Amino acid sequence: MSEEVKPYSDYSSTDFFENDRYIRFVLHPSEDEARYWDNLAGQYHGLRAAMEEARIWILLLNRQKIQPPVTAGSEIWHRIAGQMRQVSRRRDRISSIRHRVVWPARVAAVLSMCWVIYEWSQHGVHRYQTDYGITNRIDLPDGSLVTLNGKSSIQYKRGWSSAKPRELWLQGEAFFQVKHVAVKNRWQQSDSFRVHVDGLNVTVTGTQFNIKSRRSQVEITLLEGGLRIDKEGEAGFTRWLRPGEVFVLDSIRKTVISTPANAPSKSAWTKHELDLDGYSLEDVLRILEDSYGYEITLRSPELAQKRLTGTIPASSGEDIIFVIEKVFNVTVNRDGKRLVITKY
Amino acid sequence: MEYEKKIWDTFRYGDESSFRILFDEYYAPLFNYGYKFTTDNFIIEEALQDLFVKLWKNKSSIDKTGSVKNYLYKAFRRVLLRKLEYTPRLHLFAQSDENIPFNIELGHDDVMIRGENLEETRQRLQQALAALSPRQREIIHLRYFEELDYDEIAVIMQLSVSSAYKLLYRALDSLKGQFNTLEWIAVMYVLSLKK
Repeated sequence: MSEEVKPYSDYSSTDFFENDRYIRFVLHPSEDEARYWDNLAGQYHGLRAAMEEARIWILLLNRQKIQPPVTAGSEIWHRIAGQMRQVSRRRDRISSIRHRVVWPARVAAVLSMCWVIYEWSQHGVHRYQTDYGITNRIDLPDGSLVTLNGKSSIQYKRGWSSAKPRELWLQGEAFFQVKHVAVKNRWQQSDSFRVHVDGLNVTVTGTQFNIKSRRSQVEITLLEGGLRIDKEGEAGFTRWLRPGEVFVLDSIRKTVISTPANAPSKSAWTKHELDLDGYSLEDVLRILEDSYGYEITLRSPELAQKRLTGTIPASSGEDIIFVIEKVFNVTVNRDGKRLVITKY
Repeated sequence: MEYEKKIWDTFRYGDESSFRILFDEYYAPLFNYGYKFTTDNFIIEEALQDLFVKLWKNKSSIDKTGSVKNYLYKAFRRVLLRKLEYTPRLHLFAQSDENIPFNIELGHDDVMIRGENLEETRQRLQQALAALSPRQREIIHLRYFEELDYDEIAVIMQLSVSSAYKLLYRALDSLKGQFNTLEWIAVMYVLSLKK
């Protein structure tokens, strides 16, 4: 490190000890460097001993015993992570207090405005609803057709103008046959048909599809055309569906897209039929509950996963119950809409 | 290094897993560095905790860094030294950094240095280091153990580069002086034995 150039001939151990190049050589030896220093050591008497001493000092300092942590890193991390949560909580609290103080007047104003707009807009809302066991066909203003299954509803704003996408909101199950309004090869945003269901936006590019939203699970089956499914917000996603595919968003908000063989049967209910392919007894009983309003107890759980094939008439819940009784050899005890199913 | 800078940047944008990677990477080396100042592992752990919580709290105002290591060593050193200054059970009086100890425990029994005179050399170096000031010992440690250059040492010890240069120079000078007197004593000792 000394600035003045000292001839190597005068070098002592301490000179080598503080020489950058020598330190680097000792800690990270290379063949070239070894040749260089060996050559130098051969030139002057006493240099080799000085070098060797400096080498030992450098290594003694470099190879110090490493003190391992006393507490495991994961434990310390655990404590840090705990305090990190507190930091973000405190921040939330501070900002919420700030909001409470600064914003009340504005919030009140916005709320009352929302209420006015809502009241006003309600005048223009169309709502269709079906009761248990009833299906209903609705002609939409654009010529599209919606078939509502039992205990379901749709609503849309009156007067779909041609400048905006057609939007409607669904609860329960419905089958859609959407009419194309786009001029050929000139598709634009305003031509799309959009269904809002349980936090999902389903955008349609023409076509036939079934949406079933029951028990916090959404199942969308595409029969013809194309569909885009969007979810906004934190756990948002976008999925594209092709004909024959079934999209499922289950109650724990996991998404699955599959191509089950029974995709076409998902709309069989619109023809007052139930296509049993791919359904277990449990699935059929769920349908009875969701669309026909029964409350069912299955006393023989071992039957739950039994499967049937074929199509059965389903114009009423009674039809389905009749078939179940015959096929599964079970007794169905009725108390109004309450059913108890036991093995015969 | 580039990878580490990327991790640092994603941490600054609030990515907790990157922050965890940094912690895992630096927990042991920082603990080892802290152990040179104090053998009280509770204080070292507390300083490490404070450091990382503070980093997380201020992540949005932390800059890009040329060296993650330098940044963390500097910040950790500052937190730890403040703690050591104000810990009455260790120090009766508030002390400046100058007096906060720094202990170098020389290596031994390494394949590279095993030799006849090793124990003797080791003792001589240990004695020479003992005569240095704590900060001089620290700069020697950063130079030879952490293998840092003057610029980096200056950042970590919060000195100007020229002060770092001076500090190391004085340390080496003092070592040199020590070696010489020790050598002299050793020579006298050998001579007295021969008598």
